Amino acid sequence: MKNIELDNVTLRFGDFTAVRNANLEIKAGEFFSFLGPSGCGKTTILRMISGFNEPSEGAIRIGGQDMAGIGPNDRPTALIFQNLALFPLMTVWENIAYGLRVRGLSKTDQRRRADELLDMIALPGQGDKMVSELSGGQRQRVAIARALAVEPAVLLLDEPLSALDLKLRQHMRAELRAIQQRTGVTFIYITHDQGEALTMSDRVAVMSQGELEQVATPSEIYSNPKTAFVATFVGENNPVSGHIIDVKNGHAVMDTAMGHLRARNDRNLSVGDKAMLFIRPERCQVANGEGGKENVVSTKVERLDLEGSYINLFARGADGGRFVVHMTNNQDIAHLQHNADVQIGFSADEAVALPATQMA
Amino acid sequence: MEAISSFRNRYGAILTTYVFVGCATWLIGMIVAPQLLMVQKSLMYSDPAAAAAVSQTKASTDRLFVEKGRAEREVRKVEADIQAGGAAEADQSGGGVFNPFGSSGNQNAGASVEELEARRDELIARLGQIDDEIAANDSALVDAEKAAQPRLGLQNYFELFSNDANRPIFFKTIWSSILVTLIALIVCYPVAFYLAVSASKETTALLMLGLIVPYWVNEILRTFSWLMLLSSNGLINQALIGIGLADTPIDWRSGNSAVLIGMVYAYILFMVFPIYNTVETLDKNQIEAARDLGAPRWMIHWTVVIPHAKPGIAVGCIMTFMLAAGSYAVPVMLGSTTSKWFTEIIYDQFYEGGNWGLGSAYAFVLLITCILFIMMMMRLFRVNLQDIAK
Ligand SMILES: Nc1ncnc2c1ncn2[C@@H]1O[C@H](COP(=O)(O)OP(=O)(O)O)[C@@H](O)[C@H]1O
Ligand SMILES: [Mg+2]
Repeated sequence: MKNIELDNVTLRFGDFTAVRNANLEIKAGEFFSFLGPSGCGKTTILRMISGFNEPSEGAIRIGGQDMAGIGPNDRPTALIFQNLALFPLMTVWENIAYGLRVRGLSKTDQRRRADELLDMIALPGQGDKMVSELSGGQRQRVAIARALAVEPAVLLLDEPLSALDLKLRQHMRAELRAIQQRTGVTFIYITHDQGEALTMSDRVAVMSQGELEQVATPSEIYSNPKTAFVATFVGENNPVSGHIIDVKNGHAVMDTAMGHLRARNDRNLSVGDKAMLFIRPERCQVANGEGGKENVVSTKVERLDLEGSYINLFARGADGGRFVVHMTNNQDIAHLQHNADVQIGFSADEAVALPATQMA
Repeated sequence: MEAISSFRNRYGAILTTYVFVGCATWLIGMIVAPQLLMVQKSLMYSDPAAAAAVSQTKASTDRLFVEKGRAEREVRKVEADIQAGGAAEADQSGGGVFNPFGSSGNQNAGASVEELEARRDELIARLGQIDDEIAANDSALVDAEKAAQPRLGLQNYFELFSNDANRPIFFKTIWSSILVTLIALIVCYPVAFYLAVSASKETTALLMLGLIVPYWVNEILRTFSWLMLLSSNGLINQALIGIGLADTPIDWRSGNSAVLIGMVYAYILFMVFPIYNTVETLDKNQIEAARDLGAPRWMIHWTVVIPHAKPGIAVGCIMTFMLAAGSYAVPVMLGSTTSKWFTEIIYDQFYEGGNWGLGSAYAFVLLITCILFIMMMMRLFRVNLQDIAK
């Protein structure tokens, strides 16, 4: 099986460093995602893995073999381009069979294999259509079939769903996941959409400005972010800035404009460090005075948004920072008038203190 | 009419008038009228033998009139001498130094009155003969001119294919134009591809400028510079000898090579630009996708780039072929007497042979050949006019 290793990979375009010191191992058969905002270097990483760009420093290994100097045509990877890059002058089946034609298969074999793949992507009998006659989602699947036809060890997908509308996107997520499980091919998936990354992936690498911020499973990323960037880029988080005044038993006490707050100290910050505390809106409660939570902050209600099954409470803290609470829609909200004082509580275990670095 | 009124609703009366008058003028003035005129001319055939007979008869009449004038002058001279009672000893003023009848004033010098009278009678008899001959010529001329009158017929077209001097030149011109087109395609495709795909924006701009600047120079001058480059002690021969590829200067101009080189150079732009324009519109990801799927470079060109660039290639080939086949300056300047171009033959028919009918027929055959070539190219590249218009 072919694992993919990035060993201290750096890529510079002139003075600009697009990817910096990426270290990573992607396991064979994994559905792995790179998640990050536009321009953070995701495509660049993919292009290095597929061989269109050579790293300025470091090495990329596939199945233990150093890929330096091996062109895209000789790597066991297949790339699905952001705009699909299907061949518009060829029919659907010719598109799918292109890689087989390149390998010198007979026309009948090409056609047979293309038809098998058409069945797999649930487009049976559509092989003689032109690409332009297909819908967006169908083209998407043809692009996948074309890439899978060459039986790559790794399929690289560059924001493949970004051009589709919301409904189709959600349908295609499930489809992609199913295809990945059916074929057992390693998928390396790029997206700036955290929903896609979290729902489909076995593991996610969150990127910012050319650097890998955190590589972990989706739930790990969500509940145990390692950097301020990850905490704010993935899901919503309420940030409170301050500095550490005490650490013990894996917890840190922070001095903030909203008083002393306790949180997990996953990054082993020490006393005096500048830090950010993050607490997710759905982990906060409106405290009704009965206490019970280790952290309570005093805020004033700014606005209430009824979302249906839950209610978003927007409040402003003493430091001027905004605090969001997701409340289930089964609570008494009569007292939460505009400018009313409201106490918000959360437990120390659900909050995390992280180094005060760049947020998303 | 409906189209016109809807056009008018959309763009107003002035623009509509302008567009339609413009189109009509273009269609009639630039396309229909000249072609019809040429076709009409080409269908008028005059028998060259009859034309020769006409000019022969005319020439003979001219000669007879000259003779008549001289004879009449001599008769007057002889009569004057008779009146004077005999010719002077050495009279130089007689019938002139040069006498077509072999009887000059010198011959009559010192002649007696009897001799002079005999000479006069002989001359008068000859004058009568001349008048008869002129009359015969005049009536022959009427018939000959009738025979030489241009008539409707396809003979002008058949003439080309029975003319052993011009027919090979026609085929050579077509074949050489195809060769020029092929060479230009082979030279230009990589350039166009490089410009459209690989080169940076600055490089593209610079190279484009480099391609265009020579066209600011007049075609004659440009061709003349090739004449100098290709001359026997020109730069190219010197370089070839210098690096040891040739022992003696190569005579580029005796065959077709100078003409071919000159034409490829002259029309390169017309091949590069259409190809560049189409390759430019190719989504570069398609090239990478093909490569990623394992295609070697030649196959990417064959299966992805060339199919996409086909309309541009077709346009480039058509333009280059038409320009080459219709070229005049380049073959005149770079060719030699042994490497004539068909356009030169046409030119000669108009301006030297004075045979406009034949010239028109030749020109029309060339036009038809070019149209056939266009249709063949479109068939070959499976493109239609709409693709090309893009
Ligand atoms: N060929 C290139 N030359 C110079 N800069 C580039 C090149 N390709 C990408 N970049 C830059 O590298 C950064 C990362 O790009 P990319 O990997 O495409 O980001 P994304 O995460 O949106 O896919 C961007 O700032 C981009 O401008
Ligand atoms: Mg990208």
